[in-house]
Amino acid sequence: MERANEKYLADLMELIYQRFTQVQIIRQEVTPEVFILEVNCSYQQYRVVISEIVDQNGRKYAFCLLNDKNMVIVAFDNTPDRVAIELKYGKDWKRHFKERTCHQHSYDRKETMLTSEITLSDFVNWLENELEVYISNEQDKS
Amino acid sequence: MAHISIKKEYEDILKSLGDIQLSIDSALRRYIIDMGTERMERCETEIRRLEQKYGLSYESFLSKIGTDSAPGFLEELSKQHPIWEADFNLWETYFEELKRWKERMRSILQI
Repeated sequence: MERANEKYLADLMELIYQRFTQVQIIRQEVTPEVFILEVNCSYQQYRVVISEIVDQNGRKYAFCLLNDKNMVIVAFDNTPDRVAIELKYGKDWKRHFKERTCHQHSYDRKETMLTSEITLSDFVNWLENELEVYISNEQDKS
Repeated sequence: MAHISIKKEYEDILKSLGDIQLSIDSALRRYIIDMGTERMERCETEIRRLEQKYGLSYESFLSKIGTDSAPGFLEELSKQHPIWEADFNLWETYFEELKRWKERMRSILQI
């Protein structure tokens, strides 16, 4: 698994250096059991936080885009957030405590929406293809 | 039992110390304890840092984000720590790894 993890890390780092600027590696750990990558970087005028972890329990991720006031513009993650679990399971949500649930936080975290699992590559595609329209829609709302 | 080859130089020296199998077992045990201790210390340091940052144990934090035991907690947390999810992922990873190492150490110290 360590070699697979090393290849995974190399692929992620290549993507990060290609698409983001001011890349700062906060944490990078690759052991046969655990893969951890935490990166702070920039996309256009925004700050980006990338957290990608793979361990025996599976994959954990958080990709956040923030403005200069540290406000979330958009964030994708799969934490066992109660709001996301409730959206997924409705009245039955309490039975799914601790269950990782893929979701998105909207502008200023005003809304939470369920998503499919997001990879770093998906996040980059979203930034490149959706961000402009998304920001424009948010500006129209306010 | 797995079969692992050892260097000839090591074999010659180990023979001079007595039973090779006993020496290898003892060396491996010590190696696992050393490496496990190092890994556990790493996990404990990171867990402590996150406990201090959020003022909660991992279990309390998990309970507050994953249940309705603390109304308003998620909203307040998101205001104060807009990217808490990245910390939570890390926290859980070190917490689970520490648990695994504790079990391994318990089992190896009984051998």
